Amino acid sequence: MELLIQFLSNTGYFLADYRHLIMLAVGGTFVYLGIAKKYEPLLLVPIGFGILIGNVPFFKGFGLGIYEENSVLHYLYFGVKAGIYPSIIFLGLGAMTDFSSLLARPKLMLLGAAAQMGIYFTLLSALFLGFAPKEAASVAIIGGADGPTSIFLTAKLAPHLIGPVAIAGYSYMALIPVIQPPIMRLLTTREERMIRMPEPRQVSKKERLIFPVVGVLLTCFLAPAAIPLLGMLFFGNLLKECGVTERLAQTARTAIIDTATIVLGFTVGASTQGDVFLTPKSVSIFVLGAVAFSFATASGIIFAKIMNMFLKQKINPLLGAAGVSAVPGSAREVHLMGLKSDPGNYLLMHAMACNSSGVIGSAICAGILWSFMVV
Amino acid sequence: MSGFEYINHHNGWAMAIAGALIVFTGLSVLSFIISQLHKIVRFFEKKSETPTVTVTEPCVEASTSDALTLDDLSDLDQIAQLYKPLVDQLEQPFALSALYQLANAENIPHPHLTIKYLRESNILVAQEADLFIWDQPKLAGT
Repeated sequence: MELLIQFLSNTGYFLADYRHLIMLAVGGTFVYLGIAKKYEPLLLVPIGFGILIGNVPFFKGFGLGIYEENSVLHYLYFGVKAGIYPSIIFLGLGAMTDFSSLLARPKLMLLGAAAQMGIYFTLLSALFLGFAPKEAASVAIIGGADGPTSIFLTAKLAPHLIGPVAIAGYSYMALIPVIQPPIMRLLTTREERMIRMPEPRQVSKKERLIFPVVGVLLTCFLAPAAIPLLGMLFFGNLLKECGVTERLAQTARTAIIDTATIVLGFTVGASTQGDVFLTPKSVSIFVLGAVAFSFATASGIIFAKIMNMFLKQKINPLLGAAGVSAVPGSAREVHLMGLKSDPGNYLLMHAMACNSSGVIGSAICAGILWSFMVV
Repeated sequence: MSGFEYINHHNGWAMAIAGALIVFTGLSVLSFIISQLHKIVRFFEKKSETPTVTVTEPCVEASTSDALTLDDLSDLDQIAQLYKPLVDQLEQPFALSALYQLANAENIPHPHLTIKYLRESNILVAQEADLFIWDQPKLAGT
């Protein structure tokens, strides 16, 4: 009998408290949103299931939990803490990305820069709320709307915040269809949303081949701390464009990025153990994340409108919203919003140009913030 | 400590302004350089051009002057007419990237969007391993 009682006292049913139940509900919601609503399922399903796994209560000391040394989850989590998975994801992203639309209209790159203002606004907001500078920088990078970049920077500056930052970042990326459209409608008129963009010029193979080399040199000389991200991004793109490494590019954009996404999502989810995750700081991070994302979207749109004051050939200000680096969610949302105003207005390719420059911009910002914090 | 005093204490304003300026400058410079890239490439291509290359130029002109037009991107009939001549040029099943390259070479306007529309209309039918075939009766019926 005593043995039975001892066994029961070690089960999850006995050890569970309200924090585990809250997190299990969050995990369940993520899985539901991913599967039923198809909100970024490739991210939300692994993260959601990871949250479920991470919040099964267990007897501490068995070497089971993600924060316990020698556990399997702990070893898998090393790739997150050391910033390995984000770099691998950037390699795959580079091998997937076609920069042709960006090369055809380079001025759209400025919208990718403008949308990064959300990062700096959130940096100030987080400092205002009393976050330590390294924590503030980690929270601010959520404004870049780039999950891997957020995890990478947080792993370097404030590893104890990886869980909340990653969950906030990925949640807002998944909620793009909810967050961005109201801001787009609020900041643009119907006439502006109907502006048609001219067909981009054809980009030669040589241009596409030279771009990753020029891009990596220029951006990494500017922010060397971004080498693990931008170096891999442009390397992946060179594999895609050079034409002699198609097998490597194919592996990078399929098996490699998929494996990294699965392990990253799952372990980040599992790192949200209720007892370490549910703190007032996590709630603040979620609020600041929403502010960061909204401000980034708004600053991109407003900058596009400012550009229009000086341009002969006006650009559709909706494209500014695609300057955040949530690829390809925000580009798709911009495209859909353009179609709603004018069924013949196809903005997808142009929005992808802003989106890909947003990826570069947010990685540069991560490098800049890391450098600031080291100095 | 928190509020503006905390921001000042940690040099927050300077970090935010400097950070924003650096990323803007960096992307502006990159944007300028890539806007000149095609000119630089053309310059080097001209430099290395040989007389035999000059002879082939009229052919290039001929193909670009034949640029096809599409009035309405949602007009399935018009899109299908543009793609009908390509049917025999691709062995089935084929990858969409191969069709895209062919459409580009044939100057079909908006190849990415028109191919997407053909897929949605099931004129392009998905097979195993990301390969596609034409639904010939459907294509002929448009």
